[in-house]
Amino acid sequence: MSVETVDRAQQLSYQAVVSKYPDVSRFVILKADVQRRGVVYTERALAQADPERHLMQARSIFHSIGEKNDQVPVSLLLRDGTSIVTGPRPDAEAPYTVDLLDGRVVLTDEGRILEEVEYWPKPDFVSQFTSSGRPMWQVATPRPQRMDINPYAYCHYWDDGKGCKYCNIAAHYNKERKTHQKPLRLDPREVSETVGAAIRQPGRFTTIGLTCGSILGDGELFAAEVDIYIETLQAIGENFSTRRFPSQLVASAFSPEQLARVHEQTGLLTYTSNIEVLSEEKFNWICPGKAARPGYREWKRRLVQAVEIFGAGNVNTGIVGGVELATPHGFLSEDEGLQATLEEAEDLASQGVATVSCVWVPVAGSVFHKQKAPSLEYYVRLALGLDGLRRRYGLLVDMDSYRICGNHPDTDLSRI
Amino acid sequence: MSIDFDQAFRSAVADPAALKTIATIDEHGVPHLEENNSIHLNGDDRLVLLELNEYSRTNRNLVRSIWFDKKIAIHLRSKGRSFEVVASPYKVVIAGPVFEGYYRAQQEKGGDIALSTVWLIDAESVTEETAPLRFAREAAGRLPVLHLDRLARSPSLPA
Repeated sequence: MSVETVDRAQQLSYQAVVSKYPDVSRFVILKADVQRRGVVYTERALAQADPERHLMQARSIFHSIGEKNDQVPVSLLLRDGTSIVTGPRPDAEAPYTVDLLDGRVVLTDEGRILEEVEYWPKPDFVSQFTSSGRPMWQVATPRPQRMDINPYAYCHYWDDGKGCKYCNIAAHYNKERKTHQKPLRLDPREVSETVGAAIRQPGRFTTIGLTCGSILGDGELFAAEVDIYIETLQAIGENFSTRRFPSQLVASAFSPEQLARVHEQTGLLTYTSNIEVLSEEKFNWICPGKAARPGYREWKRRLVQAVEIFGAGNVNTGIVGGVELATPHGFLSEDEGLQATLEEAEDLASQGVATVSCVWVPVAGSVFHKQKAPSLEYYVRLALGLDGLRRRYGLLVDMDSYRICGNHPDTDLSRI
Repeated sequence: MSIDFDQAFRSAVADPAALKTIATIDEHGVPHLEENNSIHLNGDDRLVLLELNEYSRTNRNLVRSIWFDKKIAIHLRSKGRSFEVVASPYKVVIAGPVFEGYYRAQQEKGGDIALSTVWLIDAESVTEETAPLRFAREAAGRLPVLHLDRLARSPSLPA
């Protein structure tokens, strides 16, 4: 079916996809569709959000919530523990609605109740300050079980305009540094203090995630980025009694020598380097900067080499699921896009690298902001395909599970 | 939401010496039984089960149950009485004050104990399965299977 002719009226609805795929959890299908379409809140639903109990402030490299008086629930939890990572979507065409009905906070679509939802609970550290007076919620962004730290807020692939076309990191940082004085770099001391405060809360966090944009540098590619991560991870490590601690680094495609340094000099446990698009041709168009340095094939090669350093089950790559269908140069049909993506994912899986996917959201500030994501059915088929590959090749994806990241419909399927 | 529990059941589920077993089924319909003495009623009259292991068969089967609306069963035996509960998982709790409360309680009880998940479970029916009651219930209105040697005037022949 041609992507260009399938508009929303022709795509299968949520209920139709649930009926068509009875072996796929309706919770996971719903999560994917809420991410596709966005979510808005009624006033009475917002009235149930309590800044003392619920997370209503977050600062990430792609969006911010609650910087001033714009506090809304940062994200949602479904009854089965599935997270729906949602960001502000003021331009969403047909979002789901969170409402308060019969005394319950529920997700609705055109007035029909689909499921109960819960706002993410607020961890204790979010209300605290570092010794230099910075609110800790500006240093680490919590998910239900993972805290995310962005040591650096920008991506230097945008220096010459060759950043990834789906990504808004540059536009977001440029806006935030002017309006909210967001720093380019986090002070490792403040990161260490924040992590120390966060892990004092019993039972709240099971891992720490670090990511930022790519830092190309003038000399060896990514050397400056490696240095920043090592310094930050060493500062974080001061808080732990063990050599290694549950942690995930989502970074550029470091060379084996660079990765070995990170592995030896820090307590990092797992490594992710997002190849974003699993097609060399589409990668070259969508991610021109990454295509030039280090290139698609080298990115793949470095992922495979990373497995030798971090071990099986501790390396994966992420893709922006659906962006391979962007117009005008993307795949012309969902079948074609899916087949190409899964073929490449299988090549990586056969070499010990799992692929995980998020749902592409054409956001403001990105080159692709006026595009449309593919159908919900595409995301279900993609999730099934990626989960199926991992089962076939015996690859575990605990490092990116529903309770670690919570942003991948395919790893949600891997719970059973 | 849950059902009304009678006092006999409430006493059984609150008995620290009770034997509590949960039965779930896997993707092939194969039953799996596991003892879990954490099972209790919370203030909302929901059954609570504490799962220590994210990767246990019971945990995976419970996820399958909540995803695909499959029933589970819980068996209790306390002070000579047995009960069977047919139930459905209602909610997974992995963060927030409810989780933290149980996590802290686990740690106070036994030191460095892991807690993966707090399951909230809705009971749909409770049946007393204590043997004499069960036999009577199951045989009610049925023609008894009564071997005739038990009715014979003369004693049974020796083997």
